Parts: sequence; structure tokens; C-alpha cells
Amino acid sequence: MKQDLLPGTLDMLVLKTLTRGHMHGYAIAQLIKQISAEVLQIEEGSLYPALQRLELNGWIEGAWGTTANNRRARFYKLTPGGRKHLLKESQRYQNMAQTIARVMAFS
Amino acid sequence: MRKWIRRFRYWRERDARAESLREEMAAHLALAAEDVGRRDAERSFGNATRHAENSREDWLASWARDLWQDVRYAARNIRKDPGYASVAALSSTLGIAACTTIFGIANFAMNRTLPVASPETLVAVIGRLD
Repeated sequence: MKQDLLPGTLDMLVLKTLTRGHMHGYAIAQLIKQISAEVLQIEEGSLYPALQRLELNGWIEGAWGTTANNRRARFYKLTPGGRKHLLKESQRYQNMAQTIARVMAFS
Repeated sequence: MRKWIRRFRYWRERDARAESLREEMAAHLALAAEDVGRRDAERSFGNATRHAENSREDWLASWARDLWQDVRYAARNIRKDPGYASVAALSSTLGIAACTTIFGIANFAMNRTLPVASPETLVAVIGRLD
């Protein structure tokens, strides 16, 4: 992911993606890439630290499982705490976006 | 508090976690290789060991920072309201002291044998002098 995204945004995107159900890291990255029409390319180098961080905070839970193609992968799911955090973060993000828009519309 | 219990567990399991993370990245690479071929997958993935190191540093750093923040927050609150803090400290002191004393007495009365050679042979002699 580009370094110039607002801080905390990647965590929020990952949490949001996981509202679709549990998913492994690769699927999370792929889904964000697809939905953003390939604009947001999440690098493994920032995805895995983010997943570790989210798990450490108790917002997601990971467990080993197998994919549809019978490959081993670690699947993550959102915890109730994670859901709450996502709500808080998306409100914070919307406020921030509106504020920036207001400043940019100033003439 | 729950946060710190979780963090402590995380820290204790750090070696197993590092191993799990390495496996997880290998699994990621395998999935990506199915989609785009091994060479492209490896190129885009980059250095897996470095990613693992970064992840580890990331949470270790956030742990240290949060611990420091909690300590500073506590210290600031104590300084801001020393009366409240000393009442809290005093009531803890009294509570601990009372518990220790009662335990000491109960321990002595119930568990200790009397300081004589064979206490089971002791008898109580009660009499009256008329």
C-alpha cells in the first residue's frame, strides 16, 4: 500500500473486509484490490504487521484452516470488540474526510 | 487489564507465533502462485523474513509504547489527586494488614502444633479447691 494513506486506514479496511465473513490474508488483500478497482494494492509487508496488530488488540481472531482448494491458510474473523472498533474508526474517518473536503472547498 | 493479559500471553507465545507467521506467509505465497505464477508471486511478495521481522517489531513497539503510556497516565493521576491516591493506598494497606493478621492467627490456632515435645499427650486438668 502507498505510504501516504491516512494512518490507521489499512486497519480499518481490513476490519471492514472481514465483515464479509472469515478470510485469510491473501483473500483480504485480493478483495480490497478488487473493490478498489486495483487502486489499493496491499503489500504483504504492511498487511501482515496490520493483521498481527489487530489480533494483538483483540479485534480479530486467527485460526488455521483449509481453503476450498485444500490448502492450509490462517483464517481471520472479526470479534465483537473489532466490530465496535470498526464503527468508531469509520465514524472518525468520515469526520476526517468531511473536514478535509470542507477545507478544500474553501475559496 | 484484559488487554495486558492478552499481551502477556502473546509475548509468552512469541516464538510459536513467529513460526506461525512464517507458515502463514508461505501459505499466502502458495495461494498467490496459483493465481499469478510462482515467479510473479515471489517478486511481489518480497522478503518474507523481513516482513516477519517488521510484524514482530510492530507489535513489540506498540506494546512498549502502550505500557509506558499506561504508567504515565497512572503517575499523572496520582500527582493530580494525591489525596485520593493516599486514601487508596491507605485502605489497601489496612486491608492487607488485616488479612495478614487474621491469617497469622488462624494459621497459628489451626495448623501449628504446640511448642512441647509430644503435644498429643497433653491433658487439661480442671479442678476446684473446696
